[in-house]
Amino acid sequence: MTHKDIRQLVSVSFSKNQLDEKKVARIAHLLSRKDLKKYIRGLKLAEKKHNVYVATAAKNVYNTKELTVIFRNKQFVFTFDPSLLLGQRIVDDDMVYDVSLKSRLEHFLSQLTEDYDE
Amino acid sequence: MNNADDIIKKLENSLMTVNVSPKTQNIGVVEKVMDNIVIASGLSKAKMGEEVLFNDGTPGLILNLDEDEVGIVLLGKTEKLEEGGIVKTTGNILSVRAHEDLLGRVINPVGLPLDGKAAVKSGKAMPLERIAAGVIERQPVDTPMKTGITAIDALFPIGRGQRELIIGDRGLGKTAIAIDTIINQKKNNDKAKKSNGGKRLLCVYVAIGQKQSTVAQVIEKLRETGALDYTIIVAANAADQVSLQYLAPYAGIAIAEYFLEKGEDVLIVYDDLTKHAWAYRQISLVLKRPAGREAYPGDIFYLHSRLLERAVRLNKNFGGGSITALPVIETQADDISAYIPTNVISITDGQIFLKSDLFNAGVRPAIDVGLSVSRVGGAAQTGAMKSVAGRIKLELAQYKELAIFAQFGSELDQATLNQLERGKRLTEILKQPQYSPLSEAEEILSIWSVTNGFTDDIKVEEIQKFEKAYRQYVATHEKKLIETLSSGAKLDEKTIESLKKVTVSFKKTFS
Repeated sequence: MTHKDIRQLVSVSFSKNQLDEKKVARIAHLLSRKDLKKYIRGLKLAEKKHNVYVATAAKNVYNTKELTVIFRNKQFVFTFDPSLLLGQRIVDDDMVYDVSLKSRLEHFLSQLTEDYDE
Repeated sequence: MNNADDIIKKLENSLMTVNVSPKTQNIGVVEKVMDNIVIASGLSKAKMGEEVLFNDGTPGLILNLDEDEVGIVLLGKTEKLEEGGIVKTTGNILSVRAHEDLLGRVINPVGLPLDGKAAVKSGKAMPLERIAAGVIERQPVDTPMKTGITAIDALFPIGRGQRELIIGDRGLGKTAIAIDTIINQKKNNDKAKKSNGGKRLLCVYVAIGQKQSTVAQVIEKLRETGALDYTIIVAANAADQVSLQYLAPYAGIAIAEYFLEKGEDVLIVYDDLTKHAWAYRQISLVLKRPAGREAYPGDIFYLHSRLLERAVRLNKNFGGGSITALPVIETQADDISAYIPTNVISITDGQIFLKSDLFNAGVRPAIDVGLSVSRVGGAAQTGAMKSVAGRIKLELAQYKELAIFAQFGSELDQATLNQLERGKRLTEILKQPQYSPLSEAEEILSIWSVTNGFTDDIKVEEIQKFEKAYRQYVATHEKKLIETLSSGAKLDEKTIESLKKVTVSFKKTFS
C-alpha cells in the first residue's frame, strides 16, 4: 500500500473533524501489520493537525474564544506550565507560537551573549 | 540638551522598546535515525540547506525535502538522538564565521577549533553555499601564482584565479606539491608585509577524509616553515562525520571569500575531492537518492562545478581579489578516465598529472609532461620565464619521442644522441626535493643553463649538484642579475650576456 493510499484512509477515518471509531475499526481490520503501522502513524499526524495544544502559565485561564478566531475548526488542548512565567505557548501542527515571558528572556539572553558581526 | 545627552537618550529609548511579537518556530519530529542522517516529519516551513537544531543542541542541515518528510544530515556527534525527538528550524542558512584571527588556526567545517585554542567568535558569517561571481565581476587571469616548483612554473604556469587540478595515484606527492606551493608564498608574503603595499597570498588548506596523522604532519611542516602564519586549515578527518567531510570544501571557500571581499588574493587547496565525492555518495545513498554511474548521485558533477566555479579573479571594480583553487584527485592505477577524474578535469583550467612510473624511476615531482596542461596560466607567466620556458617544452617533447624510439637500440646519428643527452639533463633539472621551492630567478637560471647547452659536458648524475652550486654562485656573485631576473622582465641581450659570462666563470670553478 502506498503512502497516498494510507493518506486517503486516514482522511476518511474522520467524521466532522472527529476520529470515527467504527470507521477506524473497519479499516484496521483489513490492513496488514506493516500497513497498520503506517496507518497508526498517519492517524497520529492527522490528530495532531486537528488539535491545537496550548500551554498557559496561569491556571484555569482558557482563552478559547480568541483562539477560535485564529485557529478555525480546531480543538484546543490546554495544559498548565508554570515554567513559562507569563503568557502562552501554542503548538499548531508543526508551528510553535511562543508568547511567553520565558522565551522573551531566553531571547534577550542569547542576544546579550552573542558576538556582533563586523 | 547637548549632543551626548541626545545620543544617550536615544539609547535609553531603544532599551525601553521591547519586542513583544510572538516567537514563531517550525518544528518536526524525528522519525528515523540512520548513519548520520535523520528523517523527520513536520518541518513544513523548512528550506533546503537550512540549519536545524535537535533537542540536545546538535545542529543539522536539511538536504532533502519530501512531501511529508525532510532528510537532515547531522553536523555534530550525538548519542542522545531518538525517535520522537523534536527538531527545530533556525531560519539560518549554514554559515561559518570568518575573520583575520583564523589565520594560523585549525578548524572544522562548522568553525570549531581543532588546535586546542579558543574559538574565534567574532567575524562575519559567510554562507557555505553561495552563487559564484558572474562574468561582469570577473577578469582574465593575468598574475602568476608561483609554486616554486620549476616543472610547474615553467611548463604549466598557474595564474591567480585559476583552477589547476593535481591528479595522480596515492603516495605520488600530490599533497607535497600543494604544501610546497603554500610554503613558497612565504617570501612573497614577508616582502608584502615589509613593503606595506605589496599583495600577499593567503592560503586555505582543506583536508577532507584524511588520516589525522597526515593532517598533523602537514600542520607541523607549515608551522616549521613559518607558512602557518598565513594559512587556515579546515579539516574534516576520516574519523569525522561524513556530513563534515561533505561540507569541508564549502567551508574553506566561504572563508576564502571573506578575504576575497577585502580584495585579497587567496589560494585554496582541496585535499582531496575524491574523498569528498565518496562522502557525498554515502549521504546520497542513505537519503535514498537515485544512484547513477559508480553509485554516485546524478548531481555529483554539479557538486564539484559549483564549488570550483567560486575560484575567481575579480576585476578592480569589485575589489580585484582572487581565489586560486588547487583541487586534488586520487586515481586508481593511473586511470584518469574514471568518473570523478574526468568530471573534475573538465571543470578545471588544467591538470598536473603525477605518474607512478615516473615516481618509481626517481623523477620527483613525478609530473607527466605529456598529459599535464595549464589552459589559462600562460597569460600569467612573466616575460622572463616565458622566454626560457618556450624552449624547454619543445626540447622535452622531442626528447620523449626520441627516447621511445631509442629503446629499440638501433644506431642513432649524433644529432639525435645530442638531443637525447639534452633531454636527460632537462629531466634532471626538473627534479626537485620536497619542501624546497625555488624563486623564479633560480628557476630561470637552471632552465637557461641547460637549454643553452652549458651543462652538455656535465655528467647527468652531477647535474643536480651543478645546478645547486650554480645557483649559489650567481646569488653571491651577481646579485644585480638575480634582481633583473626576479623583476620578471623579458631577457634582453644585456642580461643574456651577463648570464653567459657568469655561467662560464662558474664552470671554471666547478669540478
